[in-house]
Amino acid sequence: MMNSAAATAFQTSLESNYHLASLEELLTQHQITTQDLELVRQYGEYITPKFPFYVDRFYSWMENMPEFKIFFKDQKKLLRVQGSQNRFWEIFFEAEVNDHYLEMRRKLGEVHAQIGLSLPAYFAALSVSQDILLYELYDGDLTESQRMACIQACNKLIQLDASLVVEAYAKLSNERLSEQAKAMMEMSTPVTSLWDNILMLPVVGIIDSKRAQNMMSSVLHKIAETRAKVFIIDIGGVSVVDTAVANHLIKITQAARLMGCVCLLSGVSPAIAQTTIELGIDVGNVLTRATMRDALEEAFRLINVVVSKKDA
Amino acid sequence: MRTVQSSAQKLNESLRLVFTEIQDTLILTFPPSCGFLSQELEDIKSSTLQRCAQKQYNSVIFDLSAVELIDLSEWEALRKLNQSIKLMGPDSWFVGLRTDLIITLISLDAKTQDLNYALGVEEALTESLG
Repeated sequence: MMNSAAATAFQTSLESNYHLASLEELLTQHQITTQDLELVRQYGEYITPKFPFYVDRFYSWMENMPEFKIFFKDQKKLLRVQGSQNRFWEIFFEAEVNDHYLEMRRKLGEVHAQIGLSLPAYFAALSVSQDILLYELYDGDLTESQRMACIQACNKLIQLDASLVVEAYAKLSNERLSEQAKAMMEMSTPVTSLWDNILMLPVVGIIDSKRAQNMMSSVLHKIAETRAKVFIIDIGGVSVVDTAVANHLIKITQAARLMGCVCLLSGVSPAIAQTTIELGIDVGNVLTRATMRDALEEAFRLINVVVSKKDA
Repeated sequence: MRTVQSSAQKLNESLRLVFTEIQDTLILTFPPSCGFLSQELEDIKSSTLQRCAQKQYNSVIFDLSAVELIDLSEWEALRKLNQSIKLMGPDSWFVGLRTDLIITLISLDAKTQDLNYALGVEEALTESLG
């Protein structure tokens, strides 16, 4: 069962795309108590002097990983990363979990996402580190039950760290995706003025309802802006025309009609013509042409423009 | 109480339909929010058709450029009025439909076929004359 704080957090994360959990929420979610943090510190006092062994051991494992060669080509960089890794575990064993701590962990996730280190590689490294620090390097004199309590507390905090890294990683990837989607959306409706009173919109790719809505509003705004009389939509680059797509296109032509603008569909290939008829789509009184050239000719006719060759 | 009532009445009156005649053209300018009661719609229909019967107009223009919101039944009523005018002879036009309004009408699957549309009054006048 989720407690009410967690339930609210879950609700909020659904509402706003990305909600970063607060310190209290995280500690409650991971059931980390002050006693746990005390245990981590206790174990830290014992393990911190052994860090040089950890680094040696860790990098002897790391050398065999494919990521190693990509990320650590140069020695200086390797030393720098080793240093910051040392610092990472020092901070971990100091166990001062506050907002600053969360921010540092999230930053790490962002860095991983930016350099393109995969999450599986991160988890593998974390698991190896956990193994070395909590089991391999241990030869102290804690009683078995004390040791188990320490290991459990460390594990909880490691899980919290991992969840922060994943959260930051996901947030960044999500932001990138939505940026790309936005850019795609902007690129997808390049309405151009072809002639006085003639506008054109080449459509390439797949038309879904979101894109169709976007197309409709940009078509209408462009008509209002330029006071065009004819609008040519070239669907030569549309890969699939099914009932839904045809419907969207018909709606766009109807909408343009309401602004006193005639809409022409060009680029109707034999395949598209055939499927349209076989699907029984009623194109109504939508004007269609096979090629852009034919559509332009029809557009000239509609606005009473004659284009002729200059006499030699 | 009385002042409130009278100012409400004034406001109501300012939101009424306006008829303008230019030569052989009748222009109906609609208020920002149609929101007509069915009785009002009946009045509009009958008075418009009466005017058309009394005078031979070449065209009747429905100027909707101020209209921000319209529902399906209002649209249906306007469409029927437009078609009835057509039956009496004059060309009839819908002009100045806003983009948001158009998107709403299309998404509501409103009947929009077989009517004349223009971007503005000027365009409708040029088209009906030329």
